[in-house]
Amino acid sequence: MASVSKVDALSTEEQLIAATLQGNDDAFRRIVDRYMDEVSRTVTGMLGAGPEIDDVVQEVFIKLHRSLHTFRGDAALKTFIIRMAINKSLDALRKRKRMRWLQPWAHDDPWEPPSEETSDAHLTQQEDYVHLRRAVDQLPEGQRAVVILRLLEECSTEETALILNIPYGTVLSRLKRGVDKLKKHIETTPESRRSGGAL
Amino acid sequence: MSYKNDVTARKEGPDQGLSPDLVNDLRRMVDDERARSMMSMPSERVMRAIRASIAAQRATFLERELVSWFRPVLALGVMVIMMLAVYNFDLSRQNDHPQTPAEMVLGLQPVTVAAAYDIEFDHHD
Repeated sequence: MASVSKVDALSTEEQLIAATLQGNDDAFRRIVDRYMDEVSRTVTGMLGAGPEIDDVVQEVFIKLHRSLHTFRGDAALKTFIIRMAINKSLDALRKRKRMRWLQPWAHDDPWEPPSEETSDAHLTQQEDYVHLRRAVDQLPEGQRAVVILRLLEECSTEETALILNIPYGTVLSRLKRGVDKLKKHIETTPESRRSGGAL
Repeated sequence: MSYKNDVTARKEGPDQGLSPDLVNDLRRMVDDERARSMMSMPSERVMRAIRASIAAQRATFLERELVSWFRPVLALGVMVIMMLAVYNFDLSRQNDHPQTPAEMVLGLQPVTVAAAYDIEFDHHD
């Protein structure tokens, strides 16, 4: 059994989990620090920029804290956490759809916080990101999750299949279809035709 | 933001066929979106949210416990009220005066003009 009285930056995942289950807040904070990047990247990849990102990331870690006792160690902790991030993101997407249905008058413009930088290069880049985001948003949920996990999180096909609980072959086909759709959408944007590049 | 591999250096497998530009643009876009969307010190805020969630869970637990303790008291109270109503109804039926069902259940004494002006309060049969 791992020592749970003290944890440090070198503590293993098993030690951190055991310490957290014994009520050690510092241990859970270290888990949060280790996986904050992965979780926030996955959630942002799935949802895009928006004020709800922070809330969804928090919900993922709250759920993790509540269900850490169910983690049996069959898979890596990262797989367990990323699965929660994907599920919470899918919940948020469905909630967004419901809100759109309830408030059809609400506009669909991408969320833009105030930016002080107004240089041409920055504006062009932002415009490119908006087009890419539109392309990602048009992917069905399943394809989007595969694209985010494989391209953004650099999960292997096996890991992606495990996280999404789908067969290996389905990951491959969804990735292929998702990437094809992204490329097709990007190629049809005026900016892409103008520059002649992928983006 | 660091990634395990730069996609330009990665050998594309049969399941990929990905454009490195597309992957890198996707990563840059998400990093940009994340920088715009996330507030500072996310870990600190997560820990605060977890503490608040635990406190809320404890409050809910206490609420549930209180409800479970008071459930028998509530059932007993309802039973006593029902018994009183039946008793009142039964007693009221023995009166000669006409009464409404509400008056009978509540055990209200019949009030008539004659009774209101009856000055012999101590007179009982």
